[in-house]
Amino acid sequence: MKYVLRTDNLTKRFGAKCALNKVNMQIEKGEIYGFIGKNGAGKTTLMRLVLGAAMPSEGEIELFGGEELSRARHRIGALLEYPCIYKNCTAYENLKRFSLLTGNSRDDLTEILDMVGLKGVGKKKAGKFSLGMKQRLAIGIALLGDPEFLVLDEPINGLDPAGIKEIRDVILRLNRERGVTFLISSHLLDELSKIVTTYGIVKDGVLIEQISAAELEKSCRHHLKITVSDPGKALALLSCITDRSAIKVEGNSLYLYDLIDKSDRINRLLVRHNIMVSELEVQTSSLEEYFLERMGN
Amino acid sequence: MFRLLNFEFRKLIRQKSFYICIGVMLALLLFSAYTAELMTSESGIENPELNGTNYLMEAVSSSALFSVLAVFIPLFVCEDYASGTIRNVITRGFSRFEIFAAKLIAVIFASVFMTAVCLAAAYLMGTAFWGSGDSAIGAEQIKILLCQLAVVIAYAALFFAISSTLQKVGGSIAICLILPMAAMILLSMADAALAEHEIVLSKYWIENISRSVSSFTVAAEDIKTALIGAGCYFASSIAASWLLIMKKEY
Repeated sequence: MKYVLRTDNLTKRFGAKCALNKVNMQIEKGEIYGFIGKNGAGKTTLMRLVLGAAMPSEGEIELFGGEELSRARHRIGALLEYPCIYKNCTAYENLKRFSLLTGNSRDDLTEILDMVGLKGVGKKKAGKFSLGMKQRLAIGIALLGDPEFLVLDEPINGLDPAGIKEIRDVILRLNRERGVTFLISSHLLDELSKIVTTYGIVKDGVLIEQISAAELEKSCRHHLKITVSDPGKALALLSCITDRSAIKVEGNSLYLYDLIDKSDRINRLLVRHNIMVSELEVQTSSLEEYFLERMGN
Repeated sequence: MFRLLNFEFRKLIRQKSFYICIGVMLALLLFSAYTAELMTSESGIENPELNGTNYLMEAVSSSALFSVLAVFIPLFVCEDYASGTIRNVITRGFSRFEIFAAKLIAVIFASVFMTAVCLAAAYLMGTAFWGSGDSAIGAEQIKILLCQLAVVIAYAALFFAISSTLQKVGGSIAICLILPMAAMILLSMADAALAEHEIVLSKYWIENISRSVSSFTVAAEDIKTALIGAGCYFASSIAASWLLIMKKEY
């Protein structure tokens, strides 16, 4: 089995509105798949379809290489939108109840409470937890039953920086030690970029791009921004020392994707040919910029 | 399915409202017996009908059992929908029908348990106040009590259907409490309108069916009618609510 999840033309309509439009997504076993999109782009809808909380209007979902869907879903843990917990119960009782669905032992529950940083909460009712603690508990519930595939919708919402790091470490540990596959949506792109191996970008219900973290890193690579008095002459000059395709011109600025460590030489060359250089700066485009660009902002 | 039943029954035994509702029901039953005793002693006329056995036979229809079920069942059934925890169950691969059936079984169990407590308490209270009575409970009375139980299950199924369709605690409690009164008023109006045709619709209302089988002796015809009525209420409530929620998305 290569793919944990494959969707084929997955479509979901709510009346006239198409929330998901012919989505073909593939998540390989062992991947941490970051799902990015604006609010209302269709991220949660796709997760709900995958998890069986909603029915597709069209298209197919294949889990674990074609296993019967309801059986396959026993191998999935999930956190959808907001923490779904019993507010008048303790963290342990919440885990205990849901463990009856998954068959976890008492030791497992203690281990999970420890893993999500809720070991010391004692008899405090979950309704009195902070948002971060509720989120941790919901992640704990998702971890019940040793899932092979975890679907986490905004898992670090409401967590403090220490909490974000803890959850990130839990995700990386489960991925490395147990080979758990993840589908994670988040708006915290910098956080996502620390763990994700593949990105899926969804816009208006359409999966517009699937890109690996390595490919994305190449796309977001460093560049040299040079603002000059005569960009045409500068372009002709620089084309002699590097590939033309590695240069982008925008107004009076040239963006050089090669020779980044040769800025002094380039400056000297331009000045020697009477081209005034008013700005010379090494820049990096972030995942956020890449994402915004793809979103058309 | 076994895991789901385990899950539902753990929720049931851990639900405070289950015990509070039973407590309220017992308190009202005691209050009712005490009031009857006060009225008898103040009037100075001895009522031979007042005894433990009769109090037991009338307990289901005259106690607060139905009102208590109208509060407890929505609290129990709607909790998962209101808190969103139903998603944690659905996303684990359990089908909607399995979830529906497990909740229904838990509700039936709770209703049977509450009925048993109500009957036992009524007998004990009645016996404590007025003695057990001259007539002993025999096979005929057991048959009547089982028939009453069937009616309670049908009533519980109606409340279950309302709760699982609405999925909101407050709204479900309000409807479960108001429905019997509203139904009685509407059916009485219909009876009045249909009087010249000698049609009495109100006798088919579940509460009146329950009253028709709550005495020491009940005609076999009435027991048969009550059982058929209970079966119809049960089947139609469950079928209607299942059809309404089978494709619901969470």
